[in-house]
Amino acid sequence: MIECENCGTMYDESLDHCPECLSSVHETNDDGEECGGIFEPVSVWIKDKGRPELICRCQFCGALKTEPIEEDDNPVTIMSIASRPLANPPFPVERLQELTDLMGGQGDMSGYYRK
Amino acid sequence: MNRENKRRKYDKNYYKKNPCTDSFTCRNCGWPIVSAGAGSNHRNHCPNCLCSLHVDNEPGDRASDCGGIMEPIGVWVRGDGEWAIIHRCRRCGKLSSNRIAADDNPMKLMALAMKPVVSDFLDRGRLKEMLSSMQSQGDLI
Repeated sequence: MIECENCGTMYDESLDHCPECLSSVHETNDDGEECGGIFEPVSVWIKDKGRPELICRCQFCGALKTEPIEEDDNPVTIMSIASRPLANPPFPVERLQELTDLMGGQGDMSGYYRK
Repeated sequence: MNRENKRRKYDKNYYKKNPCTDSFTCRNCGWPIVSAGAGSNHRNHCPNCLCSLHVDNEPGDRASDCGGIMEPIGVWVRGDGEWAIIHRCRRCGKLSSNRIAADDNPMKLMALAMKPVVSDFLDRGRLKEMLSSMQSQGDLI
């Protein structure tokens, strides 16, 4: 059992990342030098054949890597990482309605604003 | 201008210091792209399909031998609240993160962000169970 550097949870050494906070430690970088930063999960993507992977970014040097999601990983943490961009959209969400109208779809948010 | 052309040809770090203003066609979708309108001097990806090319090892050095198409695989929110696209090279699998531009296709960006949320890789039953067990602690009263 090892202790997670980020959140302090005890987990098995055979796992690639902490099952609670999904972080791991960046041991060596591409040049073979020690880094020691914490890989924090920034996003989730679905690899071909529907295999989900985490995209992790080193807080210290900015290196990126992907890691497969394990069975035991906390689903609430995964969901919060996946929905973080949606909580912080780069344009007003109302603009999406204009766009779907242009595309001929039904993107009206009547259900959302209905009282 | 002649001197500028010479510098562009022989200075290896020219694009590290100067923005590239050439117009080009997207290798993936054929969209004609000009450098203006990105909201930044450095256009990185196609505003229509969000694909990029693997030409740099470090930003602006044009030193990569790969040249594969980098396709967008996800978005993440940077510390300043800005979105960045994560690109992955189709040929060699290199990952890179890039800021979104002002004229990027908003539908495509939103589709990219929604992809993991709507897919069913998470066990809905387990998620529901977990949320209901958290309710006793996260009570608002």
